[in-house]
Amino acid sequence: MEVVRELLSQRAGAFGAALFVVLLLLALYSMSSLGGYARLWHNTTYWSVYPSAVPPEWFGKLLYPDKVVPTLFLDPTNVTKKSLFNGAATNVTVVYEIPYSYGGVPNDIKLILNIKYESAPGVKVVFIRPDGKAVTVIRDSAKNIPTIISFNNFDQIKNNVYTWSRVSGVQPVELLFKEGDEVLKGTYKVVVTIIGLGEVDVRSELVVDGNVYGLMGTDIFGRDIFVYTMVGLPYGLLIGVLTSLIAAVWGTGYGLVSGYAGGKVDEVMQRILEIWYSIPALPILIMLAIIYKPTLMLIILLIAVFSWMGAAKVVRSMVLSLKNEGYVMAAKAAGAPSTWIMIKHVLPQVLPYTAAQVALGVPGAILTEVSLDFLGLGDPNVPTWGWMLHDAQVYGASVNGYWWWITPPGLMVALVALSFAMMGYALDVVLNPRLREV
Amino acid sequence: MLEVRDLKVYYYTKKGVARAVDGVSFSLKRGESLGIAGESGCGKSTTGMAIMRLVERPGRIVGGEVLLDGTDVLKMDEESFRREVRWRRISMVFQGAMNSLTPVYTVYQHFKETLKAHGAYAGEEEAREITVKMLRMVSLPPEVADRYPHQLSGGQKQRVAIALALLLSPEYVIADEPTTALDVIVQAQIINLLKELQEKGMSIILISHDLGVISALSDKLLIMYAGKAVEYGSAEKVLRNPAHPYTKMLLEATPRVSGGELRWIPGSPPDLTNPPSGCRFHPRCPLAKEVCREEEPKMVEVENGHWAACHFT
Amino acid sequence: MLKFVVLSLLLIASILTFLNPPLAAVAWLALVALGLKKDRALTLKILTRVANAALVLLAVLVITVAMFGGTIAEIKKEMIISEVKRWVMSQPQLVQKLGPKVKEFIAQQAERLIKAEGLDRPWYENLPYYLSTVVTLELRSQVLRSNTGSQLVRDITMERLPRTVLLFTTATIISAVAGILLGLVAARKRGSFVDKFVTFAALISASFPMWWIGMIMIQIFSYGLNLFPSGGMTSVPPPKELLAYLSDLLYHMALPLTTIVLVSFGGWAYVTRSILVGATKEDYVLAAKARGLAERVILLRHVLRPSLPPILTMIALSLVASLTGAIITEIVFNWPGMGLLYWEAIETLDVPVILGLTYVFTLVFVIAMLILDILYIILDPRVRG
Repeated sequence: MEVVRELLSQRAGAFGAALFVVLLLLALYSMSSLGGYARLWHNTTYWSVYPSAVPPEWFGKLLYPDKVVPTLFLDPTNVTKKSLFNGAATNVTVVYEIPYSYGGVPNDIKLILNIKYESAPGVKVVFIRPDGKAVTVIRDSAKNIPTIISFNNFDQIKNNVYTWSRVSGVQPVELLFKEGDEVLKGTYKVVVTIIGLGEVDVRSELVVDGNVYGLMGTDIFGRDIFVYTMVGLPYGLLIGVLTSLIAAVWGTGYGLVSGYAGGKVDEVMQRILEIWYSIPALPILIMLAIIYKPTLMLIILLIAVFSWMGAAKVVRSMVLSLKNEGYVMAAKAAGAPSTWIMIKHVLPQVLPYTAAQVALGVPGAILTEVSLDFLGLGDPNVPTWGWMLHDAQVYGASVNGYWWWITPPGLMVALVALSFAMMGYALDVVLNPRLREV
Repeated sequence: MLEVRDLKVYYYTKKGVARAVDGVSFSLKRGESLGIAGESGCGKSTTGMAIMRLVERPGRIVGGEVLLDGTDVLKMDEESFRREVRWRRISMVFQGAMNSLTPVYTVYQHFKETLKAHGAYAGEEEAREITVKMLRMVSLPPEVADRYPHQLSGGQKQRVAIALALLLSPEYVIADEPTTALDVIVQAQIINLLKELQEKGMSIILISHDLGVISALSDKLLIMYAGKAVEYGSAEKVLRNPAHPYTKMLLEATPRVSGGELRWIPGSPPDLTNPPSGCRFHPRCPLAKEVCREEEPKMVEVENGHWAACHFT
Repeated sequence: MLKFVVLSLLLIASILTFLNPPLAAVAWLALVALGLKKDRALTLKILTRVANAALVLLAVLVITVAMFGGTIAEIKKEMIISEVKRWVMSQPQLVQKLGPKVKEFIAQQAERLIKAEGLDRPWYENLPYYLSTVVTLELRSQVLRSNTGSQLVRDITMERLPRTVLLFTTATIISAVAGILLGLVAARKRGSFVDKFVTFAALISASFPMWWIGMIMIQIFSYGLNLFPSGGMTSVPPPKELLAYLSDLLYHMALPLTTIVLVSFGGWAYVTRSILVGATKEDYVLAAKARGLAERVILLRHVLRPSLPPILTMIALSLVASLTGAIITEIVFNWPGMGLLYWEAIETLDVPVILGLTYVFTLVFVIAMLILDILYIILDPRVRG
């Protein structure tokens, strides 16, 4: 593998190859340990307990170290279940304690209440601050209360807190955690009391959403950006490589036949190639995507259909010059069938060029796929970087300053494209000595 | 008088320094013709390029003198060399001259811009007249002036290249493989053309791997091997009485009309970044002895006006 | 002299095509006749190219209409049915009178209208109708309107086209000039800092989505530093005074313009460099030097001039690519051009607008390729034959 050795001796080629290996290892890691998250992409309930659109942890620690609040998942400190009136009614009390020593206000507080009942019980939630002030945030029938209660977004809590503090227009959680401008430290308590007829069974959890999360923060749905950046990697690689491979293989076959056949066949095939060149790919792809709502595999095929022409052109001109080489002529003179000559003598010479075309085609392929997803026209069941960017755009990530939402997927697209562009560039230099510096 | 003394051209490549021309000397009076022969890669083309000062990166002329009537043209500044010497006094017909015409210009435009570059342009009409005259000199019809290179055959292009080389009536013309890639009949025509020019008193430096072509045209002969001159002298003497084993083998490898067995030289020319010690020819030489490996032979005069560099002359 | 006549005729005919088509047809015919008389082979070659372009356009049109044909018919049918339903339901007396036969009546009425519009026939029978409406852009949009309230796709498109051209043509010119100059320097000083920078910039160009860079630019310069607006073409409402309007436009253009230039000049520079490096290694360049031509003359006449055709190819291709690239970049910058219109049409599934825009994109693409072909014929004697 002389070509591979030369490729690696080029600085760009070696860097591109190293980058590719790193990406491949990361992709393997992602598939083996984060694979399950792919199915959770659309599961908003799963992610809704996580803080929404918060920056990465390290960013908070860097910029406002004393205001950082981590996300806390709390189990009840105390659950009491009392049977009243000989089992005619049940009283369940669940107490949560939040040991709080952070300088900032949490993003939100989420109470998950799974109540099983015979007839809807009454629910009372009291929030007790370290300074002893208690606020009854909910007092209602269980049937009016959602399973996941967001303190910032549940209207009843909002109203109750505003009435209590006589302030409005501020997030309720902020009012609950602050006295004046000061964040109260100490132990907060959330006491949930449920009284209902018959048997009542409660399972609950309390989540204090931090104002930072993980390595890369979360998006507006609370999805972990790191997780989906990683989950997108194998898909990104697959899309880029497969698309480009299909295009290059088809292009090579086309160029081989066109160049080797020559004459009328070549002329007609070149005409078709020319026409194909003058079709604007992206608008047509967009249209196809709108009509057929394709799956990922179909998208890959469609993009390949519009990107094989370069390979065909390169291979054809290679074949034209190889045709006049002594050994090909000799084989021909000896009466070898043309298919055999093509496969045995011409194809091996052409293959390195096909490889270069594969590498050079990956950036275009992945950029096109990301663009389709970005427009919301891709396969919605595949969590790709394009979809992340789509959601970021739809929810105004750039105008709201959610940089951690935009940066990782775009950067990953660029890294994949870059690694192949560099390998392709180096291969090109190896194969076309005219470009090389002596 | 054109005199080349101890010319050295080295190529500075990644693999190391390739000594393409390593101490070549010869001299040529006006009207005399010189043939430079050798296998490909022996430095004969580079010698021609160096005289024209056309050696390009990563190559460099590292030593020696090219004296034109006593002035060292290698020491002239680029601009005055371009104006006064290049093409005006020494011109060149390139190896593969078919590609020496720029595809987007007509033949006439090539003549015109060359005249302009040397301040010899005096209006469209005169330039046209000169072009047609030059074309006629190389037996080309006047219509050729308005043709583009791709509309001409290989032989026609070669003739145009020769006509261009003669445009400013230079004293010396370097012809680098002027007949390669042409068919036999056209080759003969081109050789005849060069012969006519020579008879008109032009000095031709003919560079070729083909001793047959060279022997038909040259007064003097320089045989090169791996960047070194191995034999030099009057053509007649060298051909009649070759002193260097390489020259002998080269002669035996040249087809002759008289027939006889055609020999070939075993082995291939050495890597110039790492040439053999002593005599560079010794790995391929049938006479090689211990001394050839250890000591580099000097040019010695074998007979009057005939030098060779071999330990066994 | 002849060249001058041909060129001016060409110019006149091109301008007339937009102003007065019948007169333009006369001018084109005159041009063809003149061409046939003076240089038959060349004219025929150019005519073949034109025919080729027309063929591509037709092929794309037929394919798009074929794909959308069924969809259009379905959408139109649904529209007619709901229209009829609404019309009937808005007349209580009629409903009362019809009683239980209401559904039947609606179906009958709808069917009559559907037949009248020819929607009961398969799409290929309606092909001529669809084709003619798409070509003249005389479709009616379903949802989107132009600023003046017109529903004609032509009005909507023509309102947006100049805006896209304004942004992307300006950006392309800037990046082309910068890129080509940089490529020139890099080609002349191979291995220098500029040369390495060009390679680096080209890799960036090839790897980063332009619109993603746009999002990052908005993030930094609009959200972070609050220097530029995050989108739009003018303030709302736009300034009345011309000078104020222009400066407001420039202020809004700055960020998208920078983004496009930043992402594209590297590609330009690299391609220019490669073409020129290849060109300087040609035998005829060395021959020109041997003939004693000055350095400047060699560079201009024997390196640049022969490289013109491939450089032009690059210019044409990237101009066209910039137009389609516009589709997404405009969305990010909320620039109200054709790209944003495309997005709006996709969002609202406004099929006629999508059809019309695809046609316009194809048209621009094909025309650019045609001009390129013809330029090639003019610039490269080898193609001329």
